[in-house]
Amino acid sequence: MIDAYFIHLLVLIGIYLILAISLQLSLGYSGLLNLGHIAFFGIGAYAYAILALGGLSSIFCLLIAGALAAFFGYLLSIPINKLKGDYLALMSLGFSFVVYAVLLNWDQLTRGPLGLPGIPRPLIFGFDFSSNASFLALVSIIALASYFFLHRLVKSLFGRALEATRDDELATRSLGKNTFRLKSISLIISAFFAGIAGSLFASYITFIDPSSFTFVNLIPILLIVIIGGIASLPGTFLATVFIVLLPELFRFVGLPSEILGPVRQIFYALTLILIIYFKPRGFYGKIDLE
Amino acid sequence: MTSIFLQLLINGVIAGAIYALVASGFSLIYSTNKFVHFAHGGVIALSAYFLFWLFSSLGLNFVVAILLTVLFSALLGYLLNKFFYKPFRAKKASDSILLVSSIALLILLESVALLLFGADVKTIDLIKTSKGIEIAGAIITPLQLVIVFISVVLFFGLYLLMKKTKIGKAMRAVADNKDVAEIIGISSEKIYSWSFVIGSAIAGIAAILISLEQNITPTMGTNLMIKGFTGAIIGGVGSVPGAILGSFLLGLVENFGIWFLPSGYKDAIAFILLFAFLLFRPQGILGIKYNQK
Amino acid sequence: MLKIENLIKHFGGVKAVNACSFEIEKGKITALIGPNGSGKTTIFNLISGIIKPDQGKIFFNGKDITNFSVDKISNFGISRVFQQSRLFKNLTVKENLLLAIDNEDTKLWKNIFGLNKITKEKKEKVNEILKEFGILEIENKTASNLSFGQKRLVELARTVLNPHKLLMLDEPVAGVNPKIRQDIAKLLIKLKNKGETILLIEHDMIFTLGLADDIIVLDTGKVIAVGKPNEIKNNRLVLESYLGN
Repeated sequence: MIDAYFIHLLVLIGIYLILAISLQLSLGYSGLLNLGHIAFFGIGAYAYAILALGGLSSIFCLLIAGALAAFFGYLLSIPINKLKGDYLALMSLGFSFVVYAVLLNWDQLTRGPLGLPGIPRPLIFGFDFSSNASFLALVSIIALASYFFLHRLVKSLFGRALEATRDDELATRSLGKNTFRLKSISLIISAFFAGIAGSLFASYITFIDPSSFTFVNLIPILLIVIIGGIASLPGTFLATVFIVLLPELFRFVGLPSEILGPVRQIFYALTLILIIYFKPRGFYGKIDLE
Repeated sequence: MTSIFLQLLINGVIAGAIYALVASGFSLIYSTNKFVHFAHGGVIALSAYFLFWLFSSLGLNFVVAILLTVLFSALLGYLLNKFFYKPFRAKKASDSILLVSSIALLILLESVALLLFGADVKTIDLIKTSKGIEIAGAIITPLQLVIVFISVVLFFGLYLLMKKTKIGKAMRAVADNKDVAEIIGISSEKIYSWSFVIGSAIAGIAAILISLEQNITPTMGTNLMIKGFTGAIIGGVGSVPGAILGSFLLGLVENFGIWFLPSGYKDAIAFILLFAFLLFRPQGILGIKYNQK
Repeated sequence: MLKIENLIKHFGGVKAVNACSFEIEKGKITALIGPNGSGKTTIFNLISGIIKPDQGKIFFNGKDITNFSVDKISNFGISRVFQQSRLFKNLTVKENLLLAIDNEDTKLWKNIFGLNKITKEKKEKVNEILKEFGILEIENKTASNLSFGQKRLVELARTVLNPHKLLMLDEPVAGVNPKIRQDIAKLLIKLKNKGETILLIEHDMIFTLGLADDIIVLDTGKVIAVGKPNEIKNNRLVLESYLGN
């Protein structure tokens, strides 16, 4: 019993880790306050679900879902490129509203508020990942690969160029670098991994509906990125573990399940406010959130 | 055919009035404080629940209940400014930080409402289903007439406040140029406080009317805030008249829009308009620029 | 090398730059001087592509660069130091300089596959310039932790390291202590002797008159005098424009 619960938490950590490091790339390293990031998670989830329910092989579903999310990342980067600060944040927030509205209303494709049930677990090279333990192995591999890829990216001079864009875009352009392109690429990659995370989410829970993809759901992810520290991948990892595990304590305190939801929300929202106020650098970040 | 048109027009005006009630309070706060107070939606939600608690749970007299509700919302706004935003401002928080923390605050307030009152839909049973009044084939209920009437009165009152009273002029001065206003002796901190009190009181009135006309849900704040914010952006978020104008336009476009689209897309219309305006005309129709400090 | 023709730029109702024309010669240090508000930084912004002129043209080595973007102009050979510090404050001095060397860092896949390493040559280039500027010891310090004078030196180093044909410096010694001012003056002369072309804005007259080969004087957006330091020193119009303000 405990084992199954533990495995479940680890799977969630794996999925949220991928989502969080993808946000860390665009927000922490590139300085884009993308409050619409959850939309990419949702696009990936729905794309995977629809394709998988349509019988397409799992690997293709995963890659196409990621690619579709990446494409939307590209689309978002077009208007966002010339914007800064809270204006950019509002634009991206508006973007996530539009995506949510489409997911909710395009009945023929998404079944709207009824959601998509019965999403199959991945079947890769004949190996069926329907047991949670095996799914955990899959998530771990993908999470590791994602982390490794992003680690290489941010440690390279490309990563430095992104950070330079974050710190002073004009100076970066004055050195001859096309920052619009840099920001676009950052959003595209960030969206891709969010889409992958969404696919894993969809095939793990096997049922998705639009309510998992509202901007409210971004709060814990935003919290992870900030608490872990801006521009720190290891910090993001630790923060993911912390943020996924801590609210589970509420379960053990014996709170009735109806109020578990709001209590968790309060925990996330309150912690976010407190961390922004007291320690905007987070625990492992090198810089403050601005 | 004209009766459908008229009905849509009426529905649009009613929706617009509700959005305008939300947007005007929000825009008052925005134009004075220069940041997006998303938690305004939370003030509306909590005020609605407060009314429910007073009237339906405690059984207070309705008039007493609504008066207390407006006081509550004004007080809540005052407290939020004093204990939440002021400390952030003192830390020289950027607009982005204020926006993110305001969104977190909205979620916090709504979660508290959810915790205290549960997720089920609440209604205020003051007016039993009343018969609508028929005008040329279209129907409008007395309550809806009251809503439109009160909102018009309120907006007129706001206009008088902003143009004729000392406080109103001081708020406009701070909105225009805080530094100059301070030089001529206006305390910007006091004005911020007042903008929150008045703006939140308007939110309280909005909460009352919306609770009567529709119902009370824990996420009503978020939904209304998005609509109100969209209306404000469409009209010109930096000006209260602009926010009101934009909100009525939004209400009309939404309702005429579903003549062509399935009704579920009503919200989508608002979001798309928001996105489009932010993209192409962030200063709104009236051209009051979305301020970047 | 650089030629601007009849540049006009309005801000609101004000003509910040009013039919301004001048030419910069290769291999010389040219100073752009004038009282506050005369349009010097606006002209710099026009040249480096941050703002576009209402009228007029800018030519660099014969090419019309008037409507080029900021990064394109930089890649065409104009490197600039800004008036306010624009270091990448969360990166180290070394990283700030590495970014200036080339733009291979904008190629995603090259970098992911490790084909854009921080090679020995790059490290040497960085070391060399840090040595020349006398700031080798701060190589690994985060830019935000530097003193003001150190910041200015790093910015200058970064700009020099950025491949360029023309250096534009906006008030390189404003606010620095006398020792650093001297160091920078020496560095600029060294650069000129290597054949570099420098265009600078400065308010410090002693610094400027001692350093510049040519001087262009602006007042309210117009060129009111051009010449050698001696001529400018005694130019009646110039004295009036400064004293009159």
